[in-house]
Amino acid sequence: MSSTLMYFLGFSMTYILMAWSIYLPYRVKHLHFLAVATMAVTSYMGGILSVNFGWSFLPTLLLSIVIGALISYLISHTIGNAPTFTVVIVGITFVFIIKTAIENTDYLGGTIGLFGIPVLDHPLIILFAFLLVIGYFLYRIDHSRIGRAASVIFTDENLAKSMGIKPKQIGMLFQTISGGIAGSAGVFYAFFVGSLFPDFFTFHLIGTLMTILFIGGYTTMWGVIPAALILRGVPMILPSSIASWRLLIYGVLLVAIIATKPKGLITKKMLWELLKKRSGS
Amino acid sequence: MNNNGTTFLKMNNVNVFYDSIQALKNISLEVAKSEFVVLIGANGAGKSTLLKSILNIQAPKGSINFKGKELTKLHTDEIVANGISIIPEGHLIFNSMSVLENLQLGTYHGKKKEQSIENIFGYFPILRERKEQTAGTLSGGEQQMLSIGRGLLSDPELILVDEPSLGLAPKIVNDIFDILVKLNNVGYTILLSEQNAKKSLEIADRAYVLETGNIVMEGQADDLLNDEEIKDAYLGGSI
Ligand SMILES: Nc1ncnc2c1ncn2[C@@H]1O[C@H](COP(=O)(O)OP(=O)(O)OP(=O)(O)O)[C@@H](O)[C@H]1O
Ligand SMILES: [Mg+2]
Repeated sequence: MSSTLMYFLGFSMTYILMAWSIYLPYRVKHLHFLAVATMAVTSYMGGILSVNFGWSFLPTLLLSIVIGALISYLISHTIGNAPTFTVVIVGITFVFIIKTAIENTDYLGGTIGLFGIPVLDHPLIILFAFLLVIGYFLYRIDHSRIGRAASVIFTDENLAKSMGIKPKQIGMLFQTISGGIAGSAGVFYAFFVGSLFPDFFTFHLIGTLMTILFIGGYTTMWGVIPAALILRGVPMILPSSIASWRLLIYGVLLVAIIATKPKGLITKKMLWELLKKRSGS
Repeated sequence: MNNNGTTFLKMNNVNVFYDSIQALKNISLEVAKSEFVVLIGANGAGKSTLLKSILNIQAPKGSINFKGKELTKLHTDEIVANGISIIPEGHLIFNSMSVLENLQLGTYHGKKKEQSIENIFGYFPILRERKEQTAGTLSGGEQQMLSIGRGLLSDPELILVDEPSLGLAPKIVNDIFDILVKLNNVGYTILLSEQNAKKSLEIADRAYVLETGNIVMEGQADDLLNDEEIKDAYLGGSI
């Protein structure tokens, strides 16, 4: 396999993983950018554990899921039921705290970066298998009592409460799961790329994930898959002079989609009708 | 009025504010177990606010007691768990979900789901026929039935019904009111908010009249139906 294709698929799948970690809490209107900070933490943790302590991939992955979930769980006590805006601000604050901390820690490579993380032999296969597991897990949540309750919270929090639903409980649960997924994404990223830079886990990543979620569509978990592939793929086939305008292109696309299709390209309703048509004919 | 020891629902000097606007003023109201009480008032009188204050959706000042428990100290979901359910104004249902899924939302509390949904289909056979259909394609009356059915699934003793007649044809309104009477007969206590004074006074035991946040009159429904003032203000010209 050409290395270009490998990078394309590897990055796309990592982005899908991260986009899912943003998608789930957005089911209850939480834009949980704390996930980006969490990804930074576990990728560096994974890098250090493997480079300096000889940890192998699997235990590192498992630990990162636990740590990621734990970070989000602890913070969800304060933002598990907060308005969207508060969740965003708290997330972005942590993103910059973590970035600053990494930049000022020589042990982590500071601004120069952390190098020499042993990359996986078959990253794509492992990543793909993991994506299937997480995808199945999300699908089950979406189609459960909790997933339906989340739809009610999204539409009308008071109505949800008057049905006996506890928005904070569901918010905390989704944020915790989001943290676990982001934790895993951090380790996959570290073991795929092999080197880490603090700048990667900032506005650039936040912007990319937001674009993937809102262009793909936030009403179903499937939207982020084509969106991640397109957004990752298109700049690769563009000449490099244009590709460096990537974030700007994302921004323009995002605004265009929000203006014309506010729920994104792929919506629950669309999938419903597709399914109905197929079972009808 | 029923005064045999335990009060069921008792609101005492309840005030509700939206920022600086006072929407309810010193409301005192009682509902006895198994009673059917109607709350009559024009647009903006405060009917919805009153029902929401019972569930603490809109925070009340004062005291609201239900079966010996002070509700103002509880969260909405705890109040629901204590046996009060609201059927909100404008039959809020989820258009893109199926009828069955909408009902399943009501069973969030757990407890014998399948059987309770079967019970609901007993009251509303049309919903059984339509259970796989998307709720958005139901008629207005069917949507209202779905909303009532969903409200019953949290296993309430007291049901707060907010203007179920809104936007429905008179014939459908009759059907909905018949169902409310039936539910009352099987033991549900009902507090109904309505602008349709005549029809609701005909089916209720007692009534309160709400004007700009004040209770201006209360009494047996039959008495109010014959009251001159009520006739002038609320029954004139209505069907
Ligand atoms: N969210 C809100 N913010 C500010 N004021 C509100 C709000 N909701 C209601 N009000 C005001 O409180 C008063 C009572 O409103 P409420 O909705 O309880 O009336 P209602 O009797 O249910 O009327 P309707 O028959 O139109 O449903 C009105 O003056 C209304 O404008
Ligand atoms: Mg109202």
